Amino acid sequence: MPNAEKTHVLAELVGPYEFWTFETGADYGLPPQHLNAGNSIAAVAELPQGADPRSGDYVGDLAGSDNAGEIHVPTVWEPVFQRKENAFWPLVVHVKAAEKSGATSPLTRLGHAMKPLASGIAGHRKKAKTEADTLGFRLNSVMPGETVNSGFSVDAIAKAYAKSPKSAVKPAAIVAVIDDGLPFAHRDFRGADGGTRVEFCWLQSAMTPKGQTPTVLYGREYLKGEIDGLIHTYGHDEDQLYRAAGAGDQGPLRGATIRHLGSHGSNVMDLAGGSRIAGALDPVALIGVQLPAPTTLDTAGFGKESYVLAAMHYIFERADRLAEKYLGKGHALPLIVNFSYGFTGGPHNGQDRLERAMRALIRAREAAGAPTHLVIPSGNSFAGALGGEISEGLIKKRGGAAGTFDIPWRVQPTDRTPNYLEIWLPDGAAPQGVSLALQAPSGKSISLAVATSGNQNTPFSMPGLAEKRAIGQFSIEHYRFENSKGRWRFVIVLAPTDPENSTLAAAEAGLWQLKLSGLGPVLKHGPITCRIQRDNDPFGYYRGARQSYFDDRHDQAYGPDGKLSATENPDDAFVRRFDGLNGLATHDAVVVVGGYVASSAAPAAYSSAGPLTAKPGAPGTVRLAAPSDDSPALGGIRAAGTRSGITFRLNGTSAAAPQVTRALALAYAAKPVAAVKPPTPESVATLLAPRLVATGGPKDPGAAINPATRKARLGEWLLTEA
Amino acid sequence: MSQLGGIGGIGGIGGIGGIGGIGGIGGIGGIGGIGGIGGINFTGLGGFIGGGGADGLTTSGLMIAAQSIIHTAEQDTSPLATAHALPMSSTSNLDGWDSWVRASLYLSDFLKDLKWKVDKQARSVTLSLAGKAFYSVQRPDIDLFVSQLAKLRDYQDQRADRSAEILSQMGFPIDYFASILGLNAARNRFTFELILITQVIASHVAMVVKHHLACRRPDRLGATVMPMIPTPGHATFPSAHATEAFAVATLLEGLLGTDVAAKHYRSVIRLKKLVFKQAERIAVNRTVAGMHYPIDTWAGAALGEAVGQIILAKCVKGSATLPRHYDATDVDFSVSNFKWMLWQDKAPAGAAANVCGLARGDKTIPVAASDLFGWLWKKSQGEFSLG
Repeated sequence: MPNAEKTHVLAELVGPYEFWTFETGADYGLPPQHLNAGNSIAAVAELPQGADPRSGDYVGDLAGSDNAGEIHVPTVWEPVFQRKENAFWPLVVHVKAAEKSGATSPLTRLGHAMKPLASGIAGHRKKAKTEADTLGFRLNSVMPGETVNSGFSVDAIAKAYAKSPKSAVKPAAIVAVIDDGLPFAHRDFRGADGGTRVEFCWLQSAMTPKGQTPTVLYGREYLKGEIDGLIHTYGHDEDQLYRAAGAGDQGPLRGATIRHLGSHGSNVMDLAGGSRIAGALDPVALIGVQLPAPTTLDTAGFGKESYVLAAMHYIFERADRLAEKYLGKGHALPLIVNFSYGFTGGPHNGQDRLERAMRALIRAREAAGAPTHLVIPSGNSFAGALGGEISEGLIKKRGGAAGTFDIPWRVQPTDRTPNYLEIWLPDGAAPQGVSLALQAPSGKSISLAVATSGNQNTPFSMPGLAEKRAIGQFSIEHYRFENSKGRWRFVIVLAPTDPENSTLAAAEAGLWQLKLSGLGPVLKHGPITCRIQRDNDPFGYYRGARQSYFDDRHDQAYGPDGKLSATENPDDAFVRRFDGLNGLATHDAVVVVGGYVASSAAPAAYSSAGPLTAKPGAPGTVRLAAPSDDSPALGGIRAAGTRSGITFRLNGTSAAAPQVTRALALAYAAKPVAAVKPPTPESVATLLAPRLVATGGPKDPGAAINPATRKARLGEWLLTEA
Repeated sequence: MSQLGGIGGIGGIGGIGGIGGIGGIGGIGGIGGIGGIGGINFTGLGGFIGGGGADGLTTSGLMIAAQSIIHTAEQDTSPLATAHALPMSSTSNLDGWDSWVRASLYLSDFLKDLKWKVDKQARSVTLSLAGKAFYSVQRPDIDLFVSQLAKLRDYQDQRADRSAEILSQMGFPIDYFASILGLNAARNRFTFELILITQVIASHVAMVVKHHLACRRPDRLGATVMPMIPTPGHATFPSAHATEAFAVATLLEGLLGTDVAAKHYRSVIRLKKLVFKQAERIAVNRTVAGMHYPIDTWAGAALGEAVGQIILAKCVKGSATLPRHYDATDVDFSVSNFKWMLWQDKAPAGAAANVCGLARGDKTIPVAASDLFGWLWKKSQGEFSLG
């Protein structure tokens, strides 16, 4: 198989999602992810401490090479690279001469373009004493070329920011929001002096106009001065304001939810830092980062890493500039980053690459003496049947043959996006010896062969058809953790059941069954965790994603009262409701927020939870909860739409998290700056104490609702009205 | 058998059938995509077909009653007063005419001075009033329409947001203006009549330009437009919805500029801006729905502004309009660029003629005042006080 050769060449660069996106399923992408000359691709590199992709080891090699590619580094926050561990770098790779060397396969072409970096990594391996095989490189998505700024220099910001006017009130805390459709000129973000509190806003897929010195590597940055100018000129006509700002006209592929009445980001940013009463939030400065629309679109999370990591670096870097401008050199301000995003896959032990990268940033800033919080929603998949667990006990209870289990995977018709199933083996277990066969709804069986060793990405087609086009992909990957440990996973990808391009092969819709056998040795190490990736249209987008799920006949999805179940399934069920936390929220440097119904204090039916058995406050659990619905009749929380004056209700834990962000910012703003200390695990509770009610305690109005699972759903506290 | 003879009198209803000919005016309303007389009733002008009681039973009853009582008058010898004729050609009679009659008179009054010149070589249409050109427009190249399809696709995603507005604005969307000014159909019936005739005139004038330029609708040039409502059977450029909405906005700007308005509204400047922003929203809703390109709105807004100015000038003695020329460029529509002077002293870059395609001349074109419009203007002025 030619794939074996490809994967060998690019073993460092390509995981299951990358291989599907750029190779097997490239045609299914929106837009199709073809790697051609002139393309720029967002990427993340994991490099040993001291290795700098901007320095000779990497970039220097370009001069001597055949000039096939270029590597660019966006705005980064330097202190994180001083940590004694591998560093994660957000990068942009520019493919310059893709056709050279007769490379026809997209990935081979990319491999060619990547040669400088690959040799840089190899060179470093020889020098570095760190574990060589923990280095890596992951591709994200192809970027719209016109959004990459060729004239970018990291120094440009200093001059531009010096010209940006100061707010009348000195900031005492910074709220940063990473989201979609940010209404940066909204009146709720203006201070009592009429100027905006948004000091910096980066739209990652907007275009910097010709003639303007770019202050970001890609997209467009707006400083307070420019936003104030836009408000001055176009405050009367916010439609024209965002159009004039280049924030609205981006074409259907990049999307422009700022043109809708409401966007996810308008609601979230308002809850996190919007003031409907003038003056109330004046000491809270704001930083916004709007992710590119395809990133928001792809709810599976693939393609996000590089953009999110770049957003975090940008926020940290700009937060330092902001503090210096208002308080002087050497001063820092408390920073609360709200990231109301999530996906369902990942290892769920804090070792997802993006989790590790974000954690390193938080810890490095804390170490520098600056209070820093990352606030993330727990997720909305509690009732989604997206998680399952295979254990020896389950197989026994079901009466199946030892070491065998059939995973029931129901895939929706008219699904325009691929479906991903991740099967995580327990620590210490190896995939060899496991047999897998995938049975299509029509009954046809596809055998998935496990190679004798190493990672593999194997496309498969429907048996019995003359046409051998791939309708899916079977991957095995040793997902690396820090310190060269890792965990094996199988990833099954199915093509859309209704591809955008109808000449492409479609996967059958219906009940697919993944028939596993030979699991005995694996299960000796512990249970196997199965996770279906999130696959639905995010707020304001209409791509046609339809969520697949585990159609387990033992799943008791509804309780005796007819409502969606709020408890764990009995032992004979494969579907697990607990341990289904947002895959980006399982490390120890994050404040995880669940959602509850304000009128009853019951957990919101969708609010995801960590493991039922975990100790409250441990990594991978919900830390606290905030309202995400006002009542069963009034779903969601009312906050701003995209224009000053529009409000609408947004539900989901996305709406709960920013209320905690806001409460933290106000708590810091109420303290003298000198008294502010870096947070400890307890400091969130201490800061918010006047507004917290202990879950299950005497003041908790919902203490009697499923008391055994309450802490796992809602964490240790409920955030209540001030 | 006299009763049967009476019923024979129903033949007189045939005369009313003659009024059915006026129904043709409803048909003209239909050209605007307005839905005919029904829509006009709904919007407050009152019935085009006046008088009730034309049903067979009442007619029969009236004739029987007449025959039964007629002798009482025929045999009376009491003295008779002198007969007085109505004044000729006088606005004092207008109160007595049915509202549809007034509508017919206003429309005729406007159209009698309107002329158009079509130049196939130059691909242009020029409208003039009493010999003075006030609006000229170039037919855009078909490739320009094709390139505007991308903007339609951008707007298409907002159909869910705006469907309530789109569906309720298929006729003359008078409520969307009335709501801003606090107008009420009973209290402000003549203001409604003025707004409505402005819409009717704007629609007629737009049809003239549409007919001659004959530009294809988006759903014929793009396969992915798929409008959410039926595309009307007339050409796309200029947009009649934009023409009507901006004619009304211009008219209301004039009404709000009067001393009477200043007494009864405390925020005329804000209201003027809202009225124009609403006009933009009504016009852009048609782009969202898949009916119109943004350049249709530019062409329509410019035409509507001209119609609005002319109507205002007919209402108030000594007023004038200005000439304008539109030669489309591939930009989106924005009220802040079209009507920038409401907000700013200096034209923004997007309002420059070489950017947006619209150039306004500064040589005034005098417009003769009209008794008819003057009467209606006065009537509507008198309605503010109750507001």
